[in-house]
Amino acid sequence: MLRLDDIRKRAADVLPTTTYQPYGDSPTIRSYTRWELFEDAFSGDAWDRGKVIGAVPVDAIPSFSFDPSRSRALAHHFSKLPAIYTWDGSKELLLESGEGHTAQHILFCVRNDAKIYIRDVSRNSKSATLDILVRPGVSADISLLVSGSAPQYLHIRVHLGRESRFTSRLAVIGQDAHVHYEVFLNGERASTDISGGSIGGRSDVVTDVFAGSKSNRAFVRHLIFSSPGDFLAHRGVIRVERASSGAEVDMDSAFLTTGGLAVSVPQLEILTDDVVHAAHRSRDLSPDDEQVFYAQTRGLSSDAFLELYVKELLRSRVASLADAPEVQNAVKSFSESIQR
Amino acid sequence: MIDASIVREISEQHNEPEWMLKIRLNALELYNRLPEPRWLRGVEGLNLEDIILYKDPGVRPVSSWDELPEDVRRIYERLNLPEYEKEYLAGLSTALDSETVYSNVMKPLREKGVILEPMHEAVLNHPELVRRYFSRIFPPAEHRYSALHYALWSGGVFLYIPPGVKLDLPVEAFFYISTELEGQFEHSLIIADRGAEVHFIEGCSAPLFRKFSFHDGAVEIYAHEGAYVKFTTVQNWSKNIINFNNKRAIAEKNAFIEWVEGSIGAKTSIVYPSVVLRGEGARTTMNVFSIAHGPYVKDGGAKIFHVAPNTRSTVVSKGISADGGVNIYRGLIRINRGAKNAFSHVSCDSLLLDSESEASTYPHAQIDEPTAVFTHEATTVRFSEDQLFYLQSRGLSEEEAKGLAVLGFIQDILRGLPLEYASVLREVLNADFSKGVG
Repeated sequence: MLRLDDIRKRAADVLPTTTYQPYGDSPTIRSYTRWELFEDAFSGDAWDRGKVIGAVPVDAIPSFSFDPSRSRALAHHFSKLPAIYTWDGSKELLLESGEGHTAQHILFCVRNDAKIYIRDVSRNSKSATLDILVRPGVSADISLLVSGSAPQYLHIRVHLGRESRFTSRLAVIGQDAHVHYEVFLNGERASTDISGGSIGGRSDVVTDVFAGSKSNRAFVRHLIFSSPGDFLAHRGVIRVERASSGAEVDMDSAFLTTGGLAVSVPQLEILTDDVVHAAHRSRDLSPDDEQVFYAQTRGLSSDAFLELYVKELLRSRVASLADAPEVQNAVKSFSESIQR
Repeated sequence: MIDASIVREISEQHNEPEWMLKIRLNALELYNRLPEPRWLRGVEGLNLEDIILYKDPGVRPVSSWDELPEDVRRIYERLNLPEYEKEYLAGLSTALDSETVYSNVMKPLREKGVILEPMHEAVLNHPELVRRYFSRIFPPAEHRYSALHYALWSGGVFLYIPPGVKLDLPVEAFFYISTELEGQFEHSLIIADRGAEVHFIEGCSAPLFRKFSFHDGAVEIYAHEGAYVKFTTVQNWSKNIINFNNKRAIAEKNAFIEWVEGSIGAKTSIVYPSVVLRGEGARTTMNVFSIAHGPYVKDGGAKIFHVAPNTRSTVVSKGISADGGVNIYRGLIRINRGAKNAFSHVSCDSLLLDSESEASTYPHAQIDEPTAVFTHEATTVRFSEDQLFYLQSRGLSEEEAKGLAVLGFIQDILRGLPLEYASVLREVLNADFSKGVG
């Protein structure tokens, strides 16, 4: 176990040599996050622990939960981390920012099947890491709503044991939100299903999955709704390691734009020929005239159809998160932009 | 660091005008300033201080095989180029090390105003034409190795097709590296004027050296309104060449660029042919295939920029990895605001023939136009035991079965090649895979 003082010191040591994205200089895997805003936010001294409602403070973390060299954002985050929490999944978890930059680190060890709802609201800049260990044979189902008006860095790291399952629904509405999933399928027949949507503003969602064992399954789906002035990206790699066999992996990155920038970079890295299925796709889902016409012949006005289309498309990705008031407002604005 | 004196020496040797020297020196400054790309694989052994940056073959460019020294002519005879030129080509240009040594175009085409010249001669003979396009299509600042190319370029071919002239037979440029630890930086510029049509074939070869050699070439293509340019490369460098190639085309209104980019040889190959669809109704199809057979890295892909309305692009990529080979597809589709009704479809498939090989795909879409239609799909498949068993039960050996699987996998792309090229390629692949895979 690493205590908070050790964590801060070790992170400060690696900070000078750590970059935000190790391969950020590639012309095709460039960064879509305005890291300079985060650098400004991280450089302040008045860090706050904000509010972590539903979790309990602790003073140490297991060493596997600490890897600041993966990103400069993580190194910054750990170097001044004010507190660590654990959470047993029994209550809803609400993360809120405080005054100044807020840094939160939450540990979950999922021992029994759990349904988790996390609402993360940020008025000030924030960095949060959710470190999730899913025990063998257990399933964790996390719904995550990220909204805010300030730079927000959210890192979700999940380790899955044998026959365990991680399901996530994500809705992102925010300015300069960077959400990064790293899911490690360590156990045989471990599987994951990550599905999400970004609606408006400026956000960069990264979904990385590493299949390292036998018969792993990974399905990733993300949908972007981008209206004029928005800048939304979804990137992510599914990597099937050499030690893996019989993996089934699939990534679907889709977007609907009414004039904002939509960026889609679904990536595959396959290091073995022993795969059952490995594919990805990326496409725009704009409704065509025939669809609108069909709806009209069934008595729906084109405006009503478009609103319904957008809502249901989003619901197919984020399930019940579509009912959150923030999400409904964002959908309404987007539907209006498509109708215009 | 590369010293400016080398750049000045290359420029002086070719009596270049001041404007070309300026392009070179600016590019050198960029090269020294730009960072080394960190994402690239397979270039670890590349140290420019070890290599000869300019190698004069000691032969003046000629337009008849008989005028070439015998030892040089033999190289091309072994490759069957003189015979091939007679039967299948409208024009041929060949480069040996850092210079173009042979260039010839059929007389009737010369009379129609077709220009096929060594690039250095075109700089002197047609300065206005060259200056209008040179380095304007593929900018030196794109990355460190494109800057290096512009600082050191030597050799290559200039092809100009006047308005309305349609070439029935292809034009070919062939590049040959004769020694190890050598750098080749040839530059080709192809201009198809309004309504012109041409099929340009690029070929390359080198004997197998004990140490590596380095190729950092460039191809710039400009297709004016209604022009059609087909560009075919089947790169078959020997397995210790590190190959960079900087290739871009610009298509004006209703122009069509058809691109076939094949990569068989080289130790490491890094090539992303790109097309800018600048004029309304411009379109492109890109067929890309690469074979990493052995401990080699093939980092390729296609980049398309949709700038104008009603532009269309289709990319089909096939990558085959065997015997520890690494195949990487890096693609980019950029659809700018205002490119109304742009359409783009990308399909990229990878075939893995054993468990030591790798296949990665990094497709990148940036869509900024609501009326655009974009789709991308990619799959990675393996050559399964069922397939192998089936073919073996029909009397094929394991190697033959794998060779057949490879040919079947790239069948769609082979169809786009000239018949004689496709049959040569089939033979090369059959021979390559019959040696055993995995």
